[in-house]
Amino acid sequence: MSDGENGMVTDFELDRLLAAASKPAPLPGFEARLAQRMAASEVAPVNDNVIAFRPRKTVVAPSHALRLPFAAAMAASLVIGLWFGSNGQLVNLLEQGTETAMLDVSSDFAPAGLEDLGNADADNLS
Amino acid sequence: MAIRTPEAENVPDWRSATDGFLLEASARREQRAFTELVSRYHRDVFRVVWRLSGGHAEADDVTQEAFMRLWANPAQIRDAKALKGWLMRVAANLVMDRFRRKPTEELEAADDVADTALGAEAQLDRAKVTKAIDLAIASLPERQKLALMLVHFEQMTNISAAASMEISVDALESLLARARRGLRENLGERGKLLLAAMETENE
Repeated sequence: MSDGENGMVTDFELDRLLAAASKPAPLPGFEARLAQRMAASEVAPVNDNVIAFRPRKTVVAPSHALRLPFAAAMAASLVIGLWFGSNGQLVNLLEQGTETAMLDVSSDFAPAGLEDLGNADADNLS
Repeated sequence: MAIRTPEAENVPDWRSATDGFLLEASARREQRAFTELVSRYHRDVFRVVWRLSGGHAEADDVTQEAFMRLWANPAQIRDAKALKGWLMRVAANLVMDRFRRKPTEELEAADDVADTALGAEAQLDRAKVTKAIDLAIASLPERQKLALMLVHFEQMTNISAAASMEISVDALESLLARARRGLRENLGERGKLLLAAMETENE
């Protein structure tokens, strides 16, 4: 029994019905709306908590002409440092209390004694 | 006589350009080339989105989204002939992602109108017939609906439609056959009434 006989539409009739289906069209101005969206997506807002990256300033290496004076100054600085250190004059240049202060700081880092170990064991056992 | 500047001579004629040329230009971020592509295909994409979403109000937004995907990387279309199929596939995927859990509000709202209209043949007009057909199409499973859309409404060949859906031609033909059978069963005897109403109106 064919479709036409059992009450259903035939293939030909179905094509005619499909031709009656709606033919939707986008609203006018689609291109403009899309262009607006594209522009918005390309200029995305930056979050307030983002810190802009700034490129570091380029460090200019001493030119060839300045290398010899630069090396001489560095060598003189080294020699003066050695001379101060060997004669003990560097200590004289420091303030009087500097040595004491350093000793106080170093005592904070002294290794724990046997008494401390004993106390630790007692704490663990209790 | 029109003055022709060297700059004017260098501007391509986008309207007569091929899709391949426009895609290449779009990949170089040439917006006018992309706008021409949009004007060529946005109606086709919209129709598919509208049909697959059941006439949802967001069809316009989904259509825009499909073109945004293209604009993001036009170079991904290696064969310009596949552009329309690519757009259809992206649009269909977007619809399925967005409306998977949402009912098709607009066409369902029209359901009552269509059902009451079918009872009285004399009152059937073209708009009600159209709504009834739209509803029958909307009731099809997604894949069958897409196959029917591409081949019947968008006039794509079976090969192009199968490539767009990333299935074999045999699978596409199977989907089409099931879609048509599903439509006939869904319409049932109402189909004859709808046809009669169409003929009455034509007379």
